[in-house]
Amino acid sequence: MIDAGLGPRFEAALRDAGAPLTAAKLKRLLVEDGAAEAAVDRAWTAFRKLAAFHPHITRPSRVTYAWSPDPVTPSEALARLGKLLATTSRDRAAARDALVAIVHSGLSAAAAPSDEGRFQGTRLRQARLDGMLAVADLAGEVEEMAYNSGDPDLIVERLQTRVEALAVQQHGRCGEEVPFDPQRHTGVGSVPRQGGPVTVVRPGYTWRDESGETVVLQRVQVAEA
Amino acid sequence: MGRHSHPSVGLDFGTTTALIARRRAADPVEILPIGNPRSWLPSLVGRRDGRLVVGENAENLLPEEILRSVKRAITFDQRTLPLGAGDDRIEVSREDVIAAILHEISTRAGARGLPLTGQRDLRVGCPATWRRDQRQLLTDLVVAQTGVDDVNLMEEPVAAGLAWIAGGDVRPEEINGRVLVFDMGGGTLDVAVLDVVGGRPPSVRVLTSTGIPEAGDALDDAIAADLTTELVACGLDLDRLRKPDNAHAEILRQARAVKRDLSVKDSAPIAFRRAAFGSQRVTPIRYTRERLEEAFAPQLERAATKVWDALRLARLTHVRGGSTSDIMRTPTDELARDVRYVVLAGGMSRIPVVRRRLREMLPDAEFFDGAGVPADEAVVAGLTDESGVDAVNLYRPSFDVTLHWGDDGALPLFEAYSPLFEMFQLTRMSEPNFTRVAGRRDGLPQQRQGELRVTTPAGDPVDVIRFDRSGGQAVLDRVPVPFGFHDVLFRMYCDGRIVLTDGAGHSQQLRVGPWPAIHGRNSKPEQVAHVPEPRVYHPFNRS
Ligand SMILES: Nc1ncnc2c1ncn2[C@@H]1O[C@H](COP(=O)(O)OP(=O)(O)OP(=O)(O)O)[C@@H](O)[C@H]1O
Ligand SMILES: [Mg+2]
Repeated sequence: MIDAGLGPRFEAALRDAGAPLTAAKLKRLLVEDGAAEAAVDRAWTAFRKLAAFHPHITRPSRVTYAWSPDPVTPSEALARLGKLLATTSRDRAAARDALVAIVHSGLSAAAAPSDEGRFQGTRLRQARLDGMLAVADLAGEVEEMAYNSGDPDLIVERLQTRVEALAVQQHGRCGEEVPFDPQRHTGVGSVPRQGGPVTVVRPGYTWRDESGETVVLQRVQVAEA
Repeated sequence: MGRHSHPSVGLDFGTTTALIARRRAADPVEILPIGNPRSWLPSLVGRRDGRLVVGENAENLLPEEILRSVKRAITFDQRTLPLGAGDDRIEVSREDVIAAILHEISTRAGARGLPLTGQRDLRVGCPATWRRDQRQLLTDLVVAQTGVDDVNLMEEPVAAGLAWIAGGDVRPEEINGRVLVFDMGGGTLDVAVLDVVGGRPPSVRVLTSTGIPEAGDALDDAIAADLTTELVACGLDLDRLRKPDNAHAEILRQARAVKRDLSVKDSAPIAFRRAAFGSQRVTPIRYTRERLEEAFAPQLERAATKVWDALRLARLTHVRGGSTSDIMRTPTDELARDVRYVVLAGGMSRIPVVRRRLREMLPDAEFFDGAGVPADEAVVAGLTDESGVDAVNLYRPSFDVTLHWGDDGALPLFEAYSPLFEMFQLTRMSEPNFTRVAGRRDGLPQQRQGELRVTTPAGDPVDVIRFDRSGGQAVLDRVPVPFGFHDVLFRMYCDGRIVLTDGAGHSQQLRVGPWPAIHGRNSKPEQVAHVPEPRVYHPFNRS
């Protein structure tokens, strides 16, 4: 990415070192590798400025340079990019583009949820949708039956069937007289005594979930007969 | 299976509904909703403005513009399907139609967080009775639409059985005995008999997997016919209908709905849509469970016969003493005692009379509903099974046996997934087997020699063990077969033995390498002695 002369060799030496290096040590590595000392010195001046923007180079301390296999974070990339744009130097297009790409990827990752997020989001939404679907189905059923038959008994019967198909159990029927059972009944108005005669004013409903557990959705509402 | 291994993804492309599920290692199965708004995609294709639309987008088209149950086009080898009416009628290829559904599934799964492209472990269900080429057709279409190149097909009832085993109703160590899986969906009834020996993972052998292409759709039609009769009795004049198709579609729609209603109630009212019958007034009618059961009775009897067949076949696959004719004569109440567990799967198994009939047939068995998940999710849950069970199908071996000669002579002797034998042949066999006779009429030369090769459907060689007369064994991947004046006779038994008589009249005894050890009668290779003349000829899968 830094393509002038010895620049790539500084990059390579730092990457291969696997540990932070001082500038002196880094230069010595290139000289030992056969480069002319004066050329190394000149190249280093240029490389040192670029290192501040390099997406893989960090400064563990004031005097050392290190290579990180992962590029800098999107926010660090944005900071470096700002500094890079503020300089007037030429030949830094490659570093700029690399940083822009990192910033972009960071932004799109933040905007779009991960696959896993969407997977779980879809499942949660479906759980709620299933409930809404059941409501919409019942509502539509009532409207349609009212129009096509107009017979309230038929409508009630159809509703009971659809409710039962949802593993929802109805308890009691309106107008039915039963002995009061505080476990299952809720008194409307005055509270009857246990076993006393009451009339169902609204049926109760329970739901059996997939594991077979019964959940009380609504208790049977009763009034003293 | 490690925590970081790839999740398994199941695709149940059903006749009426398609589902997708995922499982990571030992986690519970997770259904990915691919429908809109339901969690499953209706397996429908329709035509709108000259283009194919899928699922819910096809639901509200005119009846003649909708293709339902397109999976049946594979089952029944229909290459094209009619769409539209009158001058607008066209034939569409079944590949295009199924590809459209699979494409939609793949697109939706991707948009909802489970891109199928790039999955390493995609498993797809298929009916047990599908032949090799039918399985290949679906596999190819799935590969083309998802970009996944390693797709595994699993038989639907076997998947449902695995879902039950892993579902925890009975601890896997304690399951011992035969499991009957009864999967009645929209298009097919699939029945499988599994032999399970408890453990972690349990050992599972598929003793038989069979079925009939008659299920929910057929019952819907029967109820619709019954409702039509009833409406006519109440004064409906079919000849005066301006749009008979609309009336029929409405009756069928009500038939589908009342079938479900009668799974929970003894009787249900039907109020037909007035608009569907033009100017004729149609009064509400009452349909009862009793009447449904009457309309269903012939179909249910065929299903029951299939169950008895399956239990007989299972006895034959894993012979535990007794001759074929004994097994054919075994009374049903004795067959019933073979079954320890019954697993009900498929939407149609919610019908009370289905359960009742099965319970009457199998009074000692324990019944389980839908493998710990709703009945119509059992197959997709089993497809993602990660419990490490390797269910070997003894009745439909999953390899091809081919005779090769010269530069390019080849004759298939056995095609993967064919049943080894069918009920109707058994009266003529003392020990059930698959027999194929090949000779000059099949293009076989009469001199020199050829070789027999066993391969997986993907073309990988499978080892064959050859036993010689002195009791020695050799492992070969090609078995030399001298030709001569005699026909070549190939016989394969359900314990993996092959007896091959070559053109010179000499017999050799072979065994397919990966065949699981079976204990019981005839499980050990014997000295090749007298090989009787074949009486049953290759009857399978002729197109
Ligand atoms: N509660 C119910 N009572 C009766 N029938 C039902 C019920 N629920 C679903 N069905 C029927 O079950 C069938 C669909 O079952 P399922 O989803 O298991 O089939 P499929 O997988 O699409 O088809 P196949 O397995 O044959 O390819 C339909 O005929 C549907 O009408
Ligand atoms: Mg199915």
